[in-house]
Amino acid sequence: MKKWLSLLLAALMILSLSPAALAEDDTVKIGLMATLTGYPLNGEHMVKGCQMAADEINAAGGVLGKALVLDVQDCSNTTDIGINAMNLMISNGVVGVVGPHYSTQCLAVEPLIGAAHVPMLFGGTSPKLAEIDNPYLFRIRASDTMQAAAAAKYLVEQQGAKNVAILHGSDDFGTGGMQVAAKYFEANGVAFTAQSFNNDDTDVTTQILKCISAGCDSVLIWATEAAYPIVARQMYELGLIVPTITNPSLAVDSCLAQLETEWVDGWYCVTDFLTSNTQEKVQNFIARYTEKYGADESVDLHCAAYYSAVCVLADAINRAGSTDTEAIREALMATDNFEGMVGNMQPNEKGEMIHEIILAQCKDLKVSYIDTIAE
Amino acid sequence: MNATLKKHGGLVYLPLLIAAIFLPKFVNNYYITMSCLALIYMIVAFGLNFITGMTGQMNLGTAGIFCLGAYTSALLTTRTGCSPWLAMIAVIAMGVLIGFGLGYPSLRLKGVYLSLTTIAFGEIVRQLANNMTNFTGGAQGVRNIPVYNLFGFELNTKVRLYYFLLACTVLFGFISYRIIKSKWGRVFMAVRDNIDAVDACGISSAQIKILAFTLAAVFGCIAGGLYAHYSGYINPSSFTLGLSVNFVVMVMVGGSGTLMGPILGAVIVSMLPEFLRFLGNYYQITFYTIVLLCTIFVPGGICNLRIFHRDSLRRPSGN
Amino acid sequence: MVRIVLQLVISGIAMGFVYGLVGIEYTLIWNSTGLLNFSHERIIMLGAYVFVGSMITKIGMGVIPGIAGALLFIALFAVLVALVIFIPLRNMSRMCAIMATVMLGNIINEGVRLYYGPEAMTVKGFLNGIVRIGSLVVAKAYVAIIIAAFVILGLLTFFMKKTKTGKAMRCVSSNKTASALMGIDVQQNMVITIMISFLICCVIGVMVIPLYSVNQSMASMISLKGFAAGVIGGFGSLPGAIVGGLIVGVIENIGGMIFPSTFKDVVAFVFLILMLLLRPSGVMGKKSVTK
Repeated sequence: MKKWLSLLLAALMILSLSPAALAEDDTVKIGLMATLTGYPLNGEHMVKGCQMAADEINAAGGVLGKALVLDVQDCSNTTDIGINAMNLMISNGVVGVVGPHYSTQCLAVEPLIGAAHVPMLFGGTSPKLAEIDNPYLFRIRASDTMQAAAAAKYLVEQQGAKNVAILHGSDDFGTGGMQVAAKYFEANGVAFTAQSFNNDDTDVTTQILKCISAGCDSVLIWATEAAYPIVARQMYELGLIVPTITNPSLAVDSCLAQLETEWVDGWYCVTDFLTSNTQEKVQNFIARYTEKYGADESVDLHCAAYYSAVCVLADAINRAGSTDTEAIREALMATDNFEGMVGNMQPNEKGEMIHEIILAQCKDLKVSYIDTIAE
Repeated sequence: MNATLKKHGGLVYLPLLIAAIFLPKFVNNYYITMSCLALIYMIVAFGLNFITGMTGQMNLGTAGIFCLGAYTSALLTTRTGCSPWLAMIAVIAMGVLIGFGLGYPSLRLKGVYLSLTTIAFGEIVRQLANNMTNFTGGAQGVRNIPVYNLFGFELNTKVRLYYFLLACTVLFGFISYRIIKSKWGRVFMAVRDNIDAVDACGISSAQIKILAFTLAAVFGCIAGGLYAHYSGYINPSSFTLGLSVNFVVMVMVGGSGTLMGPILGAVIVSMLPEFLRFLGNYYQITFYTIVLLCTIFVPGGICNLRIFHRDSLRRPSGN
Repeated sequence: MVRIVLQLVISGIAMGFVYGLVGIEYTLIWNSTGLLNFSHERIIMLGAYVFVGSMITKIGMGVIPGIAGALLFIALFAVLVALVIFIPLRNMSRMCAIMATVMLGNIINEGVRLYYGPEAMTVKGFLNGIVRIGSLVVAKAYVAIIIAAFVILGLLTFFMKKTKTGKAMRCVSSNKTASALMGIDVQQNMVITIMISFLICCVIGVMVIPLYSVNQSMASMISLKGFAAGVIGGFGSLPGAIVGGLIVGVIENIGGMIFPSTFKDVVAFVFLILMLLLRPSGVMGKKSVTK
């Protein structure tokens, strides 16, 4: 039995080795680290957006005259699986990596790409990622340092908030956003109270009641999509109906689909991407996306941001003129105002490529554009 | 096969060890990193084997033990700058503490109640690690955990770390082997099979249970400490109930109560999903189905598939 | 301040009935087969997905026929799972059985993701709105759950005391060997018990849609706390599950008030451990600890 088992395992190992062994010389491979299993699941949208970019690039002649191929690996939003995925992609000979989306994953795999000298274009927004001294990190979404501060600023300057309640998820994302907002409020002498909830909490009555009794006149919410159906509903039920601003999750269609109109009517949000953005490049992108994947597919920031990441990476490879990862990194750093769906990409010395964020408002479950806030 | 084992003692493990030593020559970083994690999990599985495999008690909070070991080492080395070796002493102490802490409830609770207690324990540890931000770094975890330093020789590549972990695993495997073969090992299994007989023989079954828990906790904590320095970055979201389940699956699929069982189980659980990646979207569901089929058709574990072990298959473990 | 405490108590009681229902459904399987059904979280999720994904969205039924359709599907699914997994498992070690149910749960999870896709869903306008009791509020969905809990408890009690199958279930849970000797088809009985338990899971899944919407982690916390509810109320006792649920619901809310709110779950689990150590038979249970 043991013999059979070892033979079986050996066979599986060989099977999984073969794709790597047959690395073709006439393609350029970039890795895509997506959350395809596990929770929360935004990997499919990432893959679709990136695949569309790759197909368009290949239709226009490819990269360095060769076909661009995506090596998609699941990271399951789990640190150890993510590390394995990154190692697999590196050993498969990718010249750049797009993703991961979650900051904890980024923190976990960042040493790997640093050691392998492979540039990583990630979407995790945690401010902690800017503190890392790794020249191969490039962020292709506005960081929370920008987003949360813009949200906080809007509440204070445009809504005249004097006592803000920060309702945030207890995960890295929510805590990071809360810290940025809190810093802004402190610096501007605005009173605030922060209440956190766990992402799989089924009831936030306690947190909301504490906010109400602290006498808040506005709310800033920083949490992942999963929390919104519960938080929004209970805020409405318990009567906490005040000017509210949130992180980009509110503008994601799959999140809006779970909410009732009256819960979030009039809520503001900062976001990377809006389907109602009238800019030609955005509407064009949405048209192409729905044509490729069908009108039932929702278009959100995951599709758009990573689509642009693939585009700018391909552009950098072309400018570098070779698949040497060091040259690609330098070409990425030299990117000059490259048009992207979530903003024009221009890296600063820390590799932050996006310097603007959209302010929007939700009415009748439709999120409409108000303003662009630049850094 | 088992008769051969009995005759040659531990010699069947020698070819395995030789293969393990030469592994880095043939494979790339991807496999070496995976192997490092498998080795760490093996140590946890050796420990868990004492509780679940031998004394037959259910522990679904192993991730909590692993988490506490990892955080102890990580926080001590990053906050106070002490060497990872010194931190290991604290980690062992933590293991002993948990052993007693979990051991005493296990005296009063059996079966299902113990499962629930251990689940609750695991969840409490994870939530505390996640929410006590000032102390543990909260959801953002602990970064820049230093590597081990052997008299100036830094274990900063995966290959070096692999050999170090291999040595550790061999050490713990050897300790485990000695315990299984010793009087203690036999008493552990006696506690699983007939606890009244144990008490009737004048051996305190309570002490034995606590001993089993302490061993498991110490092994688990040490593995956790090793994990922290292997990974360089830990955060609470890795130490979920799913991980606890994985540890139990390792012991169960590999073969509870044996030495080879945890080794095989750790390899299967940590590596099989990776090898199944070529199935694309279906790789996780395939893995779970394989494990499900194992529980139904190979309930004692693969290493217990032997004619004269049929008795241990029939006997329900513990409760 | 008083208003806050009262609101927390009311919310806690409302949550408590959800925990209580979860406690009831797994207590049924426990009593009958001696197995802890760790896949119940995924069955709840499956019920919700089938209701929204298939019945409402794909086939386009109304709410009531949709619920009926979902219940029918889950009943058939339960029979399949019972015959293929639970019956073979009950003679194996506890560890194997628990692992098998966990793996079943994972497989259902992946299956749902592969079939229905990763996007969350909901049914708009389904059981929305609140009920006011003075200055306190309760979501209508919770009121519906409380009513459903009493109806289910009533039906179960009637079923188990008055009908032949129900009495057979009580015999099987009490002593399998004696039941078999008395001519009761133990296997068939187990299948029926599992079916009832899964149906309750489906009801829970459908009724919590207005509260948590339909996504892959919708039932993770309520299933764990449901275990706690069953234990605190008295393992094996059906009304005890409801009582246990209420206790957990109120304690965790009050705990969340006293301690920082994110430690709510810690409070619930610590309370569970204390109960297990000090009074393992629970508030209403009479069964011995060594079951």
